[in-house]
Amino acid sequence: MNAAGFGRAVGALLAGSLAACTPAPSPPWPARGSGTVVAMPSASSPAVTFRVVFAAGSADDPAGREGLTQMAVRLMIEGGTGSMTYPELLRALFPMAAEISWNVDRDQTLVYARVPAALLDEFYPLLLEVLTRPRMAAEDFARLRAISRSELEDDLKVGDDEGLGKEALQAFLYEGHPYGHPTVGTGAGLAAMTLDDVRAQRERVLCAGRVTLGVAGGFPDGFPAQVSSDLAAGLPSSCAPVAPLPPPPPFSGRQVLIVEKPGNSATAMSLGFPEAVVRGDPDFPALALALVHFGQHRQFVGRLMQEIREKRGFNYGDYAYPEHFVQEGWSRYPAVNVARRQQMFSIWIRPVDPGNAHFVLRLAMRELETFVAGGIPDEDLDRIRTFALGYFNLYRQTESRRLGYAIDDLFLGVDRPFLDGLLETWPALDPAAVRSAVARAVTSTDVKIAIVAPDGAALADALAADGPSPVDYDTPKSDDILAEDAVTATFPLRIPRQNIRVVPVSDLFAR
Amino acid sequence: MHRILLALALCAAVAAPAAAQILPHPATVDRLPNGLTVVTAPFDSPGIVAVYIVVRVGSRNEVEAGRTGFAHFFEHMMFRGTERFPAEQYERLVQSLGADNNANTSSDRTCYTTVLPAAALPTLIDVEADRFQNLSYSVEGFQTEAHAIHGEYLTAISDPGLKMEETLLSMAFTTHTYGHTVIGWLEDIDRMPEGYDFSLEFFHRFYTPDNTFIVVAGDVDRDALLALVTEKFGGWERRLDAPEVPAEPEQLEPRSRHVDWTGPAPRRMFAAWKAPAFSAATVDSAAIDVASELIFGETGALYRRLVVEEQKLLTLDRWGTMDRDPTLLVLDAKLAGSFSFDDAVADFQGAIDAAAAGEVDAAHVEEVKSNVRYGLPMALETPAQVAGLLAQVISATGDPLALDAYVERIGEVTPADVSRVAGTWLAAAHRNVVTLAPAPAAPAAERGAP
Repeated sequence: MNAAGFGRAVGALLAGSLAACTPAPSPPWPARGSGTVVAMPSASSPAVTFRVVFAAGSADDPAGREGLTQMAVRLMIEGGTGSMTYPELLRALFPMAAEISWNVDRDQTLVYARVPAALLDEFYPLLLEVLTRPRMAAEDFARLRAISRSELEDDLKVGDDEGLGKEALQAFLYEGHPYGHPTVGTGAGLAAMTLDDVRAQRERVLCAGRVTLGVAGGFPDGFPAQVSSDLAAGLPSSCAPVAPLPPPPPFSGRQVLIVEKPGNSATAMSLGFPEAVVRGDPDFPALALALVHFGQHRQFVGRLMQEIREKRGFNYGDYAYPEHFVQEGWSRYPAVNVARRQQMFSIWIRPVDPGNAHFVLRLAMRELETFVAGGIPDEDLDRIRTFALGYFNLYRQTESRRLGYAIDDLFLGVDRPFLDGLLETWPALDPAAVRSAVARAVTSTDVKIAIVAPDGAALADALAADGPSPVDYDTPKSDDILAEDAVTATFPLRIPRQNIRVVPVSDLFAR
Repeated sequence: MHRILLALALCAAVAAPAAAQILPHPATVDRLPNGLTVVTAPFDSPGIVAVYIVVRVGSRNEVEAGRTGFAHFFEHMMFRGTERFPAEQYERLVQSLGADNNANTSSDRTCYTTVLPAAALPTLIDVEADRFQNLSYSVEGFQTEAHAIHGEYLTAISDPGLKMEETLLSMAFTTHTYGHTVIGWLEDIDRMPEGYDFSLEFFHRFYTPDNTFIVVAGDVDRDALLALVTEKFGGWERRLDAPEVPAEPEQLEPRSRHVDWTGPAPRRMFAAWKAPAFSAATVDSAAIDVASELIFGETGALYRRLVVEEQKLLTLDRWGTMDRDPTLLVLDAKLAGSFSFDDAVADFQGAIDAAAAGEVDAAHVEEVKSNVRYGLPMALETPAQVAGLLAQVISATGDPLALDAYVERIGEVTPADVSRVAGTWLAAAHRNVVTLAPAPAAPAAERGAP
């Protein structure tokens, strides 16, 4: 949709009131088209929350300029405006306790803002200027590029093995694909980009024709329409069309990417595969419920958590996800507005002692095979369902999250509000339906495994040899666990050496 | 892009508000005959409540040699069951409630958090009362959980910040138990499996009604809650038996350490000054929070110059100071280009000294108060956020209603108060600096001052 159409759909539009989308190899993005306004008025709310979501992300980065979309929005939000330097903007927002922040994922870019309702009139001109008249100056570009480089080289590649493992998995799954680099970019991409590139990227993707507006809270009548109109008039009108995504690169068998960090004291692992069963698919509710059983994020209800952490104490936690997952802040709930056109199933094994990595990978793969074969055991279904019905209801406690879910529904084109769909479908699911969905959606044979480890070559050789990897506990374990471990220690991984690649961490995301 | 100061956001400040203006509905505090405190905080969250059980035990209570990290470890053990509800049954029961159930530990307290349907509150109180009074676990379960703690340590071990934090705390606190991190020293973590008997003693020392607060926020009726808690927790009769925490002597001169980091790493530094214990009894805590924003915050002149204009620092962040005992105000900075650690320290201390000499913008002080006045209601959007705020205040003071008085203190802060705390608490003699830079040829080790 172009800018002229942006303001058309003002009102409390939720996805459930809209027509169903037609599945297609390259569906439109957003599925419902840009320009929609989601308004959630609440007169009693002390705040007004904005979620301005662009159909743009790191998938829009040009080759050789990886990180450009993130730099564009970062420079918009953290670079000041046409009338105010960044420090002046900070000082203006501070007494209001107002917030303007941003996030970039592969296919969505979020500008988030929140202000006390009583100060909306004072705040809104500042927000509008940030969005429509960013300063985009050379000195701020230099500052923010240095920060992005540090986030890539210092934070991700040095200080965050867990995040590195997850990014390495995505790079491995999506080699040569627009999803294949981190949103922050690559070393070469950050080095090559110019201020002109950044300005052009803003014109190309952070533009009126790609925006969806969400407003919630204590705003006056007609306010969303006003914002919609202002954005239509003020955002760049020169949008590039959203390019269709190629399919994820095909692969077969089990493949391993080892990111070698010499001297590391721990080994982090993430594994997964592209996932075809996504929101809107009739099997998705059953798949989502099955994943609660298999590996609900940071909950002991999950089988992986029980087997790897609770019974054996190998690490801090082990989880599985039916779609791309980002934890929201310090909560354990999924972030919203990180929706994607293509999805991935993943398992996250938190760091273990390097000496136990081979065994723990075997244990996880053995659990995955059991899960593929059986879904949720019949005797556990009611318990899992009861938990999920209560727990997922907690996902929508705030205005901001409700707004985010409604916007994602528009992007993904689901027929009814996502959480409502889950909560209304789960009570009627039977074990056969869950097994069927898991069998269709989950594989244990075609899996990519990303490992951050200190000893790449040795681990690669051990995995390929597929010899026994017994574990020595320094404290007693029950006979039941030891008997299971004896089986796990020789569980065949069947990963030929040619399917295992070792890369030094310095080479990862270099270009 | 812009964040509310942690300490201020948690503790609030307005010109002259009352408690009822901070929380949407006033909280009430009741104390049972056995010393257990019940805080009821009604909140507009139909059908949902947050239950935060706060035990005032944290890493500050780890006074015995070789027991660092034990409070946090014990938090894990509280999920290992009782005779009535063995661990698996406890988990399954709580899961059947559709609850979000977790726990966390700080230097001052351990907090057990559950968000759940209001209708399930009686069941939760029943199982919580059981585990707080009758915890019972096997040696095998204890030892297995100790390994999970080691795994938790591994989640952060690649981060140079962990090594820096360990170095900073042990340097800044020579006597007080704030000298070690909440998760503890790795060598103590590795010895945890041997501590089964000590864990039983720990439970009886600290998990007592007179050391515990039950905070319930959300869709809750005070009378019904009190009846329920009295029925289930009323028979809990232990008494707190906490060893004395040694006081930290006054620091008389600046201290510094350097950490060589194996492999690539940013040049990074922690610069910290001694700060008062969180208290509403005087204006010092509030004044330190205001001074922190004025001198080091994103709206201050130092941030503008070093981060934005001269770009000598990539980042400049701060930690909060809401602790039970005298603590640290910590700056966390990444250096850009060739900017030296010494020059950074000189700039930091120079900004403090200028404030101490009276260079305090009165309008900026008022802006901080405005920030908190408007920010706090927005930060209380869920019952968990309300319970979490009250838990923080309880952790530091033991008095849920201290929030009210602290808010008044913030409203009273003047530019002269900012100058005074800058010249006393933030004096150079109270400074502790840890620097870190890559040293590819050497293992991680400490050496003298840079």
